[in-house]
Amino acid sequence: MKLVLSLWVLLLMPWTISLAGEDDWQRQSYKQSKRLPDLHHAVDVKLLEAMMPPEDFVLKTGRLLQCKTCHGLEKMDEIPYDKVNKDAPDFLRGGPYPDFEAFCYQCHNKKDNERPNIHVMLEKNGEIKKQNCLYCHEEVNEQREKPRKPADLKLRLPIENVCLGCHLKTPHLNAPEHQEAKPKDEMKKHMKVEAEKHGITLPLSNAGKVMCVSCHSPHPDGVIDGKKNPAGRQVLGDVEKGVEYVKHSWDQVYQADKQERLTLLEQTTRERVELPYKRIKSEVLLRLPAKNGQLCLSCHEFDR
Amino acid sequence: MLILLWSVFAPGFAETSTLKDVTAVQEHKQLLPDHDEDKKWWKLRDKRSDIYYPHNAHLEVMEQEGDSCLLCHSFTKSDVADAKKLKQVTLIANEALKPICHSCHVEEKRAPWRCDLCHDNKEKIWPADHRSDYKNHHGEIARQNEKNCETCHLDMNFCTDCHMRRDTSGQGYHPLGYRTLHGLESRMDPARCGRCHNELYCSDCHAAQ
Repeated sequence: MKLVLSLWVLLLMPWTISLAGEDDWQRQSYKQSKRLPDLHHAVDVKLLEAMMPPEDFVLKTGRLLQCKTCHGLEKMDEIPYDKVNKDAPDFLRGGPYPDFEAFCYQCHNKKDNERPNIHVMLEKNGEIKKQNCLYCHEEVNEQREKPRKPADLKLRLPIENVCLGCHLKTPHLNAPEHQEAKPKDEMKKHMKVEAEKHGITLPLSNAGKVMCVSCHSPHPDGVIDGKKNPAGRQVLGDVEKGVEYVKHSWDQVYQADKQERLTLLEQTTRERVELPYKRIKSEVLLRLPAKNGQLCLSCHEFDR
Repeated sequence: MLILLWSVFAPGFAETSTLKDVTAVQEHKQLLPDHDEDKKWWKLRDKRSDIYYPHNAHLEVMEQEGDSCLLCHSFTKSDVADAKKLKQVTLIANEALKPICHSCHVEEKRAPWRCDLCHDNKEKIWPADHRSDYKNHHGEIARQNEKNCETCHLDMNFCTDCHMRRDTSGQGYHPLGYRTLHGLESRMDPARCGRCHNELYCSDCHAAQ
């Protein structure tokens, strides 16, 4: 019996270890796993002579990038990933950085590395900037007036992830709540009715979840003819200016009410967040106007 | 014995603590971790109609004002990269906001301002001292700070409906038969009468005599 058990354990052990290794790398340090988090900057790369990082960004011999070039925590490569204090001011040297890109621009030249606004898809003469289509699509679609299924869009990433390379997964308040939501049948019926009524599309992911493009239309007006293809119907706005707000008379009373809770949150997260109360002046890249509630009401219904 | 006592009273203590927590949420003063779902305000609103915002009833006026859902359900751009943290911020931003409701319904009185329009059970919004026969003991406190009363009792009718009532033979502000007996008291402290009655009230009868 003992022999059978031992054999069983021996047979299972490598499989168990391998499973644990795949799932638990976050419980290990870099020194143990030799694995960097997803989308992490590469290490051991040689910096160009022209690149001049700040003095406390320590390089390895031969101008090689290492953990402590960017991170100021002591022996960080020995700390398991899930134990690293990402809120510590020196997690990223000179931090915290409310605007994360400000950290990158300490080495990378801002002017040369700033992302172009690929949503500006039209030249001044109305021609399509084809190179911008290729940011998200594998090929330029010349028949844009013809509605296509998500599977035929030839996107470089699954449709629910395609925005996330440039935009944060947390681009605005209430975003995570929506991204996790899976509309129930009743809501889906209402969405269908509203989409038909307004001549728009309100797509959901393959898993039936809300995604960025459920509300946002990535293409500005004039790229897809909205009269022929509901994917092109959207609010008219200035893609270069983006969303604009104006002050609201309730801002003061709102801020005063939130102060206590924001201070409490600051104590636990060590990050100060302000919550302004603003009225939308102009919006852009939305399938329906949100500033009059139409977009929200195309999914949400109320009894009273 | 102690263990026995503890086992009897401990559930009661736990309940008190839960009630206290819920009250704190009702006052929108507490941050809650994600797992405390049934203490969140949007769960409570199913049980408390007075913290339910009747969306349809507000649609038209919101549009007239140039506002929409996004005013309270803010979709403002965020630099918070951590989804858990952003959810906490969103929770604070989304919480029902008494001062905003009261801005139209109480202070500016642009919207219907009857308390029972939203607060269906006045005991939920009463100050603690109102709970014990306050109707018969409010005089002194009211005299000390009338403004304090007016924060909820927006209309003087609330006072005069009782104090000026003449269509009852029962005991109003004055005891039964006070009309015959009021002379002495009114001479001792005429200013006290003047809190409610003006001179015409006296002269209507006394001048006629």
